[in-house]
Amino acid sequence: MRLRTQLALAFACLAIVPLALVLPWALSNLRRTLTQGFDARVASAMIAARSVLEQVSKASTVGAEELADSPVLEDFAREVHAGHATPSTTTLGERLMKSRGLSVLSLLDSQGVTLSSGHLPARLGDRDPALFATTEQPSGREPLPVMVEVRGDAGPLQLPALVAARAVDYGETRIWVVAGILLDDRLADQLSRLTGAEVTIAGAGSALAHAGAADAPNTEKTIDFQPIARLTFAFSRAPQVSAEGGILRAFVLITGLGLLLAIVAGWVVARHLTRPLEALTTATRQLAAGSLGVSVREESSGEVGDLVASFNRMSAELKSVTERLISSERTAAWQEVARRLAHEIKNPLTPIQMSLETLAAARIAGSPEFDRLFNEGVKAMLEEVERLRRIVDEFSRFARLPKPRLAPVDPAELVRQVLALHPARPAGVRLKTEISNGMTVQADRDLLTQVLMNLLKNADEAIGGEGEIAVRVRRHSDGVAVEIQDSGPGVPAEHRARVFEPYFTTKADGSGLGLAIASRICQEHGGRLELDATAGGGALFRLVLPAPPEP
Amino acid sequence: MKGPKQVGPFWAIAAFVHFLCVHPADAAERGNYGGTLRIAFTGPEAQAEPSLADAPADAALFQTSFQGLCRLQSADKLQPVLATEMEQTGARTWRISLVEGARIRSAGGLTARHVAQSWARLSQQGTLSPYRALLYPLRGEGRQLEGAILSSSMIELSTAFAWPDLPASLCHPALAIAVPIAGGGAVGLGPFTATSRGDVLEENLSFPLGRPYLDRLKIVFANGRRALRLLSLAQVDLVLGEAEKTNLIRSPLELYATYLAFKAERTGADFRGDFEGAVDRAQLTQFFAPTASVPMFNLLPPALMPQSATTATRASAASKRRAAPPLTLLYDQALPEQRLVAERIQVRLHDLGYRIVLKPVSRSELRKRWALGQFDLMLHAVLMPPLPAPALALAIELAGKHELLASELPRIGAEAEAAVRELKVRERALALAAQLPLIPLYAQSAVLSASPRWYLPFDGQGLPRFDDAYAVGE
Repeated sequence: MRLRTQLALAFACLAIVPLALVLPWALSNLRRTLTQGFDARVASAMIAARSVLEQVSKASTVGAEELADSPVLEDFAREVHAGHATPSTTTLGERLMKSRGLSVLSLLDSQGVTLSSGHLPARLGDRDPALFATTEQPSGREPLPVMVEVRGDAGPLQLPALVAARAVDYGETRIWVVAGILLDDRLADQLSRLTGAEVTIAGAGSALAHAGAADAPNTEKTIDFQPIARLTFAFSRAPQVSAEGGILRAFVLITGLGLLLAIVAGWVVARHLTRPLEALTTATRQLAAGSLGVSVREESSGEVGDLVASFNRMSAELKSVTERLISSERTAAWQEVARRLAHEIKNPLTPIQMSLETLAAARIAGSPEFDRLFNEGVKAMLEEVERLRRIVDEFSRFARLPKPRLAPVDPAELVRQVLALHPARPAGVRLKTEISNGMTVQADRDLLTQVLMNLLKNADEAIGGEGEIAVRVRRHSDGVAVEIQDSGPGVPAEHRARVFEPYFTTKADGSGLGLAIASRICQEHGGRLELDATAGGGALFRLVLPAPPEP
Repeated sequence: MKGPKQVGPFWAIAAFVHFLCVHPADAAERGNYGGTLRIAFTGPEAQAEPSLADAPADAALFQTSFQGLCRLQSADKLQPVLATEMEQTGARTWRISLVEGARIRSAGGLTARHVAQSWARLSQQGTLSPYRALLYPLRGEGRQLEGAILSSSMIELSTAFAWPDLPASLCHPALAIAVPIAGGGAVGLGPFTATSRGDVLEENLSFPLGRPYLDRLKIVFANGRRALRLLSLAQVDLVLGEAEKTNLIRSPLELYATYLAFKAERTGADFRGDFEGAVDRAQLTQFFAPTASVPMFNLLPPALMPQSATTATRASAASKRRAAPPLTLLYDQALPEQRLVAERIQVRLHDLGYRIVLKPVSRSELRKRWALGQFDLMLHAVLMPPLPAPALALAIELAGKHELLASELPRIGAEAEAAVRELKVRERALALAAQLPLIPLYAQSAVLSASPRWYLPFDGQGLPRFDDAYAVGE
């Protein structure tokens, strides 16, 4: 993984880890706080609801007492006592009920027959056992829950109510005032608006009144008015759940944004930090590939800046040194070539000089051997001149080595062709070939032929007419390899480093330029000529040529 | 006045009692002309349709501007109003001469065509009325009166069968002459005339019977309690439609009969028996029906036939009714007492398993639903004529059994003697009671409260007669 990526991920982790550690704790705390707040709100709402119901209860009691003490009821009682009943009593209850803010009012006689009813005037003249039963309770007790018959859309229906009963006496006539408040939709609506809950008033197994709405999930609280009714308050937890969800989403969003920012920031910082290093890496590769004088132009500071500066200095020095070295080597090489050439030229010149001096001396001396000496001397001089001419020709050939004209060449076919051209070998020479087909190299066919011919001649000379020569053509990690291995004595270790130098030879009559020319030809092809020792002691020359680039 | 035969002693007694019930001032004393009678009216806005203005208070007010050919001065005495003469020219033919020169405001002179068109509305689609039964004895059931017009001021009416009570029937307030005018509404001819101020009625100096004593009537529309309060504060002189015990004035003729009409195919065959077992009429009139109402057990109100209380029957099983669809009980939203009566019926039948939904509607809507037969239950009230035979015709029509008139009325009309005819009517009323989907409930009379300084007589229909009202001094 690249340093830039590592740095960016490290930045991201640095940003994420704290958030990831904080989030569960924060959520847990939030949930606890919201729950506490919700519970407190529910408790407060239930207190308010109970307060309302206490007010309802008190209103029933106060209403009954106030009516019982009012002149209107006294007049009514008087009329009942006198046996007068007028249609106005039909509406009396309704008027009294509305004026006192009650929703239940019945005036009953001592038998429980309705003398007037505010909540259901049509029941005038009928007995009302349910309401009459409340008159049996001692006065002063809390209002009682009781099912009351009220007007409905399709006839009377039963609703729960809190009622209180008080007696009005006129002589022997007793009239009961039963007053109260219905636990109906209106009360449910009042409680719902007060508490913010969904309020259901249920009795006899069915919902009798309902108000509000509470989205699930919700928490329920109840207030019982046994055995008549139950008030259920459903408080929605949806806002709390929504808040938790919202905050969680916010956290996730913040974390995501933070992660993204951290990655981006990390990437930017990492890029800023690693760019000089990458430039250094690139420059180092270029330098290793041979681009002398490459420098890194990235601005940086600190240790990286020092490194960049050091690299640039090193590269400049390396270039300078390399140039000097190349120049020195070139000078040294030319000096060596000149020395070798002088040495080679000097060798034939000495016998020529000696022959001439001998002839000169014989002539002066008038030696009778002059003619014989002259013929021997001329013969020797001609041989030395021939030798000089050969040295000059080979040098000239080495100096004027042509540029290879590259073309696709099948190395397997070339090797077979060269083997076919090679003169017939003595019977003691075994030729072993391992040639792989299907390869192609870009090469100058003639120059490669020259190299292979030279290597095969050397191998023949090394085994001296008895032994084995192996020729292999195979794929190599650097391209294609052609190997020529002999079973001769091999090249001594101290000479292996010099066999490819011009004019280095271990043969008595060698020019010392054959392997140098072969090596030079391989270098011109972008390859190389190697010498390896073998386990059997012979020499292994390996010609490595680069494979052509993929199309 | 020619034509009508003498009525029985019952009507004479009724007339005597009637005169006793007018204002304590001496009926023979005639007061001064002039003055404004301030009336608090507890009914709805004034009706423009005679057949809809039949509640006693409505009819009393309606008559001030809309009169018919005649009116019953007492139960047995016809008084021509817009007709000068109603002459029986044959066994079944009457010739009616209209008052000459009588002009109807915005409609020109009164003509026979006005009469024909006015009565024809009772039988027309859209305005179909149970009061068409009053014209049933006429040829063509009173639908083809154009052919009866002899001249612009003369009509010759022929009955399809003997019907001695025809002239008295023509005096019913529902047969008042009302001429439709452009823009809706109608105009008529009465002792008072509407003015541009909708709440004031001025004397009509050209009224055929002469100008009324009063100069004008000033109408105040108010509910019952407010009306009585206005009376106690002397801001009005009379409350029409509501009364307190202390100053109650009522007509002795309880002719405004309220029935419960029902559709047997919707209510079931046991409905009548269940109702009789559940609802006590005495209690109904004592607590729920309006002041001055009496229980009605038979098809005709107590003023027209003696009542025989029905025996309560055993209620049928309630369980199967609870699963039945609810029944709708229509009632007149303009009559406050009908709400109480409807609720009483609702709760009592609820105990027997009936589910009844109450629905108040306007009177015109009520009549429309009655005409189309589109109802389950209906509280239906009509102003009965003070004569048994036409009253029975009206009851049969109200029950939706129009086809029975063809068989019942001729038999009754064939009896020439009024007393015999009356017995026949009672017999048929008792016989038909169980067949007709109509349950009689109660009958009421006109009630009012008035300041002592006013004299106000009642007519033979039991309605106050404002054209003969006058101030009796301080």
